Amino acid sequence: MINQDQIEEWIREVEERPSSGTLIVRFVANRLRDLTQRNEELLAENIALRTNKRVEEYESRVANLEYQLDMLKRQVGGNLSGLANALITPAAEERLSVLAYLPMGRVLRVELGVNSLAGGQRVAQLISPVAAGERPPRLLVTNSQEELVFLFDSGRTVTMPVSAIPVGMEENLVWKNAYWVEPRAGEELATVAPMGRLALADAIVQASRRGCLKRMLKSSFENHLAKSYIGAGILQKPDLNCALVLTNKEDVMVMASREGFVLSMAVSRLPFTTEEALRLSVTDYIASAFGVGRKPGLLFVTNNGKAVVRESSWLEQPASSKSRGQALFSPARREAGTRLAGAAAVDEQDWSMALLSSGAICCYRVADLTAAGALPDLSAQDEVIDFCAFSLKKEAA
Amino acid sequence: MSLRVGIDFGTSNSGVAVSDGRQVRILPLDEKNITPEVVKTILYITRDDKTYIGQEAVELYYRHNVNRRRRFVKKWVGELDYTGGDMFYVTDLYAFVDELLPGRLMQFLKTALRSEGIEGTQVFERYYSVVEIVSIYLRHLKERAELVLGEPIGGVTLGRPVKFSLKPDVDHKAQESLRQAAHMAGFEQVEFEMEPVAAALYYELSLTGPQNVMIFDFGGGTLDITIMRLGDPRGRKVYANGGIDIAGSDFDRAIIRKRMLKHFGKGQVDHNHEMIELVNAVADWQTLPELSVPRARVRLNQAIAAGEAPARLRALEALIFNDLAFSFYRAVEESKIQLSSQGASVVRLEEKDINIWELYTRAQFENDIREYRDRIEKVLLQTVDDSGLDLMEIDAVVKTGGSSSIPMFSEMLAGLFGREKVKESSAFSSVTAGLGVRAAEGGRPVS
Repeated sequence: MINQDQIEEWIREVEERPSSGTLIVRFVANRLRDLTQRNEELLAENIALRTNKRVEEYESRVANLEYQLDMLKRQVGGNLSGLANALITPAAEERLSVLAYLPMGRVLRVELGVNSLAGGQRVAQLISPVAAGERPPRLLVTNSQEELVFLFDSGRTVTMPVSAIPVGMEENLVWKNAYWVEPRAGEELATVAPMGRLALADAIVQASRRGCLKRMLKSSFENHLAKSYIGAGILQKPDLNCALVLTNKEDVMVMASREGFVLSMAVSRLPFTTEEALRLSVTDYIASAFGVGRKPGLLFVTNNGKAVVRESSWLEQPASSKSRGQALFSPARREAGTRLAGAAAVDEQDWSMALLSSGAICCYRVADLTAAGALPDLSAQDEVIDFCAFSLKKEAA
Repeated sequence: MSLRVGIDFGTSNSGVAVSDGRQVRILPLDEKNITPEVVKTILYITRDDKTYIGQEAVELYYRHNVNRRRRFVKKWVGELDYTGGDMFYVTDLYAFVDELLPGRLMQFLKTALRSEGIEGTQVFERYYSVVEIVSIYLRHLKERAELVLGEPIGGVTLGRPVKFSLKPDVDHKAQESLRQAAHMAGFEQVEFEMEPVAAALYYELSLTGPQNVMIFDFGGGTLDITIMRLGDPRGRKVYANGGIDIAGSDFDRAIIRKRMLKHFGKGQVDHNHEMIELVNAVADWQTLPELSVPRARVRLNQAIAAGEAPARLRALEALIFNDLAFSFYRAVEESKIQLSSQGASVVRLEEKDINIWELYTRAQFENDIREYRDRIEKVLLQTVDDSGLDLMEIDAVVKTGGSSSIPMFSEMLAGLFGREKVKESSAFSSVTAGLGVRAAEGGRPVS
């Protein structure tokens, strides 16, 4: 919208004050540069439109949204029209599912009402604990409406809703009656992760027991998931995945090893290919891997039931890509046999669940654990096998 | 005797000074400002009744408001009684209120003192009179000054323009409102000094002999001219006072009217009365926020859908409904200020659907405000005439106030009095400093 009159006025200014000439030329030249750049962008956009590239992009985005919608539908019980009713009718009590699973694909589930949770309560009892030499079972607490991804050590995935796994009897959980997500020949179940909130995540991080990490952007993860194969996420056998974590760009990824070393790295710095991030000793492996978003604290629970609390600010991100991490407890305690059972990012309102060597699955308030510094009522013979925390506000953590 | 300070309560900027009788000190009260001694005369009141001034108010306003969400609700605001034929009617009145509005930003508080018909304003659930609003601002200044000085302040010498208004009753009312506001702010003793006289007192500190001095105080709201005898052992003498309510804000308005309205559709939607009314309102900072009502948005969208200058009207919509008016006025003002030191500047604003780039030269600016120059020259010559002095008998012309830096007026003064007689005093602090001197004469000097 520059007209001839304006140009005449600029010329008049230069005639009156020749020193303004340089300034005007500079302003106009800068503007010209900006407009040229903008023109380039518009030309590129035009080409993208004419060659249908933009259409393909939008088609891909529509497909992506349809996938997310499908996930949501599964979360609300397969029918989105139910949402409208859910808004006007009082919501049914939220149900939590506690899952225990073995490398052979056996999965046990018990269901709990959120309102019936109590600190220190035993929520279930495994009748047949693990045989010596086998990898111990792992624990997962999630909303009963969740969608789960089962990741095998081959990189193969199986997705199914939590509700597809039959609910077992709380006091009598027997592995032989467990639901079986059947591995293929030579496969083991590496980890199980809830994926209902995938639509809200920016990236998915695959963590292995030997300290390898791989970041996948949401869109590529969705494509892989649709093909039921996301990659093994390891550098060499017999390493296998131990966690699949939904993260956002600004989150920090934390890995805590069995021998008490903690590594944290900004998600934005994580590699897109599998790389070793934490150097572990021969006997050590990752016990927990999780993302720290806005949670103010970190809770670490050891095999002998001690609860160690750290603020999120305690985490120090290493400058080098291969670090030994921050030591959580002293060498003396490590020598004495103290090992990490599990860890999570928590706030005071969160809850936690622990699987004990006696087969008991017990529920605790995080506030009680941080106050007491240990799992209450843990007998001398009992060891903590696995530990996880969850938030009732946002379902499982 | 309690401590007394001088306060220059300006239209655009304010300041506080203290003096010990020998030296005058302007207090750094706005650490967020580039010049901490200058506090922007801006007040921001939030929904929870918290108040902020100066740069902090500006920053908070930006943080709270720019590109925020809005939700209009219809609220009952009163009743209208009227008689038609032999019947008496009562009708309910409703207004659309943005219930997500986080706060109200208030500028030109000093202008409100002299504006007839402005008694106060409703801010959320509370009605604030003009006096209350000014008192809140002064209280903040007082508290900040006390924090810097480390002792309570009892009295104040407030600056006032030579004429708040040409109407004596309005002028008197404005001063009394300011006095009441100062008392409400916690000042026990309140006295006034004319702003140009204050600037003269500051200038007098640098004199070694008697001089006839003209103070040309040209700020954001008014132009004040005072001709005085200074530095004379027999005493100071005011020969004449004059002034006119033309200043920086009028120049901003002129720039917007003549150069900026085209960016919002002027020249393209002139046939559409409703649209051109909206476009013309852009020049008036007081009216613009009031236009952000659903009805205006519907009209704008209808015009855009009809293909009437869609890009320009989209920019107008963004300006009105994204609280970008303040950013826009600041961009214009900054460009104007740059023209005092260089031949050209660019008014630039890129926000939402607004993409303004306007190269503006000093020649264009001078052309746009020429009518004001002629009126100012007339008032100046009239004041000299009233003083009984000849132009040549004036020994010095002291310029102060932000608008006095505009080269066109420096040239005008140099042409009338001779370049060597035109002295530049600190644009934003000479009145404040002079008020500090005056306060020290009337109150206890600072230890």
